[in-house]
Amino acid sequence: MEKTFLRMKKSPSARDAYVQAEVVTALAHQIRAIRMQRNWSQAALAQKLCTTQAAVSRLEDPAYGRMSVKTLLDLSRAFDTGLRVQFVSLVTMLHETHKPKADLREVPAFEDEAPLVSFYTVSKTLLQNQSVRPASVVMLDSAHLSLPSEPRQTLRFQLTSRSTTYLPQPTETAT
Amino acid sequence: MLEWRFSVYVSPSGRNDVQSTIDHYDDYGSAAFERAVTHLAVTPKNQWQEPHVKKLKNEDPLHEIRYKADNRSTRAPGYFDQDGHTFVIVLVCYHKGRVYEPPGAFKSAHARLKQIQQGTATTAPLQVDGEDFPAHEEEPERP
Repeated sequence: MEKTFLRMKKSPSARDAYVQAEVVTALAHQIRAIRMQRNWSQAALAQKLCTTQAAVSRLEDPAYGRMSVKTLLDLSRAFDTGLRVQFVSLVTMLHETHKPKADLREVPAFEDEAPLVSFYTVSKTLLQNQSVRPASVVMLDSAHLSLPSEPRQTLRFQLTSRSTTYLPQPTETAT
Repeated sequence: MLEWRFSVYVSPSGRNDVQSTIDHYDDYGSAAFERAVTHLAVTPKNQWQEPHVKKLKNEDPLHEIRYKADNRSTRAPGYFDQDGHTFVIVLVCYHKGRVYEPPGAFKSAHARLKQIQQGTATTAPLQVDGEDFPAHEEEPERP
């Protein structure tokens, strides 16, 4: 990564080239991976996008690289996923993309993921008092959204999430 | 999953023209090639498919990595080594329609493959930015 960084430092065109190549290559791989994850043929995805199989083939080709934000939005609707398009610093991009991870290409559809998500409310006082919190709990105002990484963990949460009894008791402080 | 490693053909006289071609790409060709192999390095073999890679017909062991360099469709034909974790690039050529440039590129690719198998030619690790690819990130020393 250091050599790539030094090359980028020296040349604006090296920076531009990296951004272009990474975006089109990663996107092409991911579109294909998500389509295969859903067991869809290119023709099936084309039907959902109201386009042709040849157009889907182009979207999966890094050499094409001319897709619009609207096309990406259409894809996110067809895949039933979110879409994040944002500008980031080049250093951040290099750090996050230099070594891609194949298992991050696949993304669950909302319909498949939604059953694993549960919301519940707990009192703020209890939250403030307790010192340990499950790592997978994200606080959203007074509501909590649990997004556990494993289904087994999900089950545990779902079974207990409607009460506050699953929360660790506040640690006793020495007097 | 283990990463794929990449090697390149080295002629009996020691000439490494694959590496030399890659080294002389401009920034855009260099980034396109580097990103193409970086993403393939973490991709399981059964997903090395079009449009990123094309396996040649029938029993031909050659696959071609596809990318764009010098504003032209470029192909890097090679084969999976028997060690199970290395892809050996034997040649780099351009492609348009059904025409490869230089002409006879695939004849040369097969000849080179044979040379490597017979031991008259060798291979060397692919280098990107002057270091072996994929780069082995050094682990911080433990106290």
